[in-house]
Amino acid sequence: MPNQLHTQNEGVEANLSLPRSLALPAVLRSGGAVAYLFLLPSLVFLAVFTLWPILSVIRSSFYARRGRSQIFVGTDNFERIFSDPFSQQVILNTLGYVTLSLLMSVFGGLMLAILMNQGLKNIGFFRFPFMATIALPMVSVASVWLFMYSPRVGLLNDILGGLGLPRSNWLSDPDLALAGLFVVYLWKQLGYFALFYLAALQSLPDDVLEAATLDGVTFWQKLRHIIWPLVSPTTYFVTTIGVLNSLQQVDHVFVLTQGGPNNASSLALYYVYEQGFKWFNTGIASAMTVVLLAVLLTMAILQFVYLERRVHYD
Amino acid sequence: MSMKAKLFRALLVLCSLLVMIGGASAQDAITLQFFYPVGVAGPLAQAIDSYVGEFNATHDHIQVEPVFTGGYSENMARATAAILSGQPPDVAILLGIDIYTLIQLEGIIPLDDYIASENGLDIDDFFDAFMANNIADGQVWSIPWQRSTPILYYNKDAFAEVGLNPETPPATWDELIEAGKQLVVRDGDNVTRWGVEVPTSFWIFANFAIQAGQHIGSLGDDPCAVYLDTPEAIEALAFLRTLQEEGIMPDGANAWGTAPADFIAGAAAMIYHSTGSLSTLLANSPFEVGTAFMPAGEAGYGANVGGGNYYIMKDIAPERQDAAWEFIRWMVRPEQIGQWGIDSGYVAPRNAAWEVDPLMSYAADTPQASTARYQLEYAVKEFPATYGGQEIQVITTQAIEAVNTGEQSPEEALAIAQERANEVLIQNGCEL
Repeated sequence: MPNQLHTQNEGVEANLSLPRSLALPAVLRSGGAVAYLFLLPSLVFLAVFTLWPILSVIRSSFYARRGRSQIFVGTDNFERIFSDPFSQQVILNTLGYVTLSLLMSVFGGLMLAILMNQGLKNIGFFRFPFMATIALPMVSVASVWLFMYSPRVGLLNDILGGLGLPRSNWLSDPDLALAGLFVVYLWKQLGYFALFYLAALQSLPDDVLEAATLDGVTFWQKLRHIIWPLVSPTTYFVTTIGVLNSLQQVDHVFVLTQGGPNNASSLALYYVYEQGFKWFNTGIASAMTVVLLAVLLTMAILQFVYLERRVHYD
Repeated sequence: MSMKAKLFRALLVLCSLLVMIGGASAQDAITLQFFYPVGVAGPLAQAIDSYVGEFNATHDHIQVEPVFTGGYSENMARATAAILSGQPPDVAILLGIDIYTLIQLEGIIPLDDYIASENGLDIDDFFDAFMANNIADGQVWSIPWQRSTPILYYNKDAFAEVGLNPETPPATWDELIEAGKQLVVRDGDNVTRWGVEVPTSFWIFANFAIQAGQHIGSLGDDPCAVYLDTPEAIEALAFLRTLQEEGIMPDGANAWGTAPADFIAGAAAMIYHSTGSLSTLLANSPFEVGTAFMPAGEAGYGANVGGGNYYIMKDIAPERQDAAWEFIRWMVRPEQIGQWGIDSGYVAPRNAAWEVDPLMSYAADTPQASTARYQLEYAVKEFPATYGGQEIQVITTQAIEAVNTGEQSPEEALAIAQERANEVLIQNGCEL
């Protein structure tokens, strides 16, 4: 028995020493080659699922489909996007929507987080509803709101009617439809951004805030000169996520308005879907995608260069 | 040989046998992929599934696999994607108006040879109005299936309640306004029952233009024709706006799906909707439902047909096309398509279906079922049967939305729509 054990141990040692003989040749061991080897799987995935689609979408933005054939049209697709009033409206809608969502996710998120950070009893009870909406799928949220907005049997109009106020046909009013979409987005996502700020607020040093309170500093001064600079890493993160988030969410457009009435609530991603996958105008859809890509890249670079410099990490 | 080895061999033999059986039956039976949409309210997918089940049970060599693909536009998008990728379904129900788009995609085959063959079809038995969208370049490309026109649905109880005769629904635009005014019920500032609700849709609008005297689409074989900025079309759209200004139709855009719900709930006393919604409205309305021709404009009655046809795809093996034809032929048998008319509310598109049971007795018991059939006398080819038709549908609907929400005048909105439609046509190779 002890003998057997011994041989087994020897076997293990032999196995363990194997890698030495299989070790990488000197060429690979020397420099970055090993690094590249380990990066290869990620590089392959990036190339296949990110880089190649980007290149192919750029290529197809210079073509137009007719029947089964693709015709080279130069920059026609881009000219059409920027000259057609309907796609212009889509671009303006998207810009407004993203800007507003950026402001709301930063300032709304921070305010909500400050409210949720009060030392109240059972604060969890108040926090829960704001957090719960994050977990819901956008499609279900939008379907619920569809009923709230419904002109004749909807909750909103019932309340207004009950108060003796005039009712509104929310989603089929060109002045209200986009705002209607934005409210749904905000209702669902504000808690998400507040969550990040809440985490940031809870890690703030108590002594600084206490000292400020003792010195008679007002709430707004505290917010402006202590909290705001200290949560700046979170703000940086929230602005990035906020922009991406607002550009990516398209489910509520499908469910609530389909971009209507008369294009009033169409957003860039919905426009891309409609052009590309409903009408197969792949050139126009690609051109709009390239524009989106360019905007996002520019913003990413600006954020890196400008914002990162002003963020305090300490 | 050990026990294990024997068992292993036995398993191996069994497996290869199973593979052979499986292979053999797969060779014998052709499995067809069949795309279909549902465009109106009601449990129509179950009806289609049950017909296909019956077909499969009675056909050893053809098995049809039904694929529900959503509404009409999702259905067309999926079919287009499948055709462009070279993996089309075998047979599909697609809109009649998509014929030129499908020809341009080289996605479908003409059916004249099948129709004339020994296992053919009496194509003259189908109603002319329902064949208008099926013919291009002198060839027949599709067989009518779920065909419809819009009709006027009205709440007979509401008519009686306000002192209107439930047996004489409005027959002209003027009478529509008169009746509408009487039917509106107000509670303070809020309207609890509207006089009439016309969905904001190109398909419904087209009827008003025909009634005003000029179709917005081609009546012949021209895939490049759109007439949105004509005086008649403008008059038709102005009339729709008048209904809102008179306070008898809800302001803003009215969703396609909202109208039947409002009608059933008693929130709209009259609606324009597809005859395909008939079964749902009859089954769910807690009052007597009347049906009538859409009221006549200056040029008299007029209707824009609609709905889906069977198409056979091009890039599939000839024996699959043969099998698809056999399936279509079975589905449009007079008894079968008559049953479909009862289950759905669609107008059975051939004479023979109305002359046999079950549809013959059903039509005798349910007079509402025949309204759309008789209205066909005034029906014309559906708009927009053009290249890029899916896009022109949306462009047209957007113009109606712009007017129904008070954003633009009918002249303005339709001039813009005409220009945008022209752009789509030019992009698709039309010379305008």
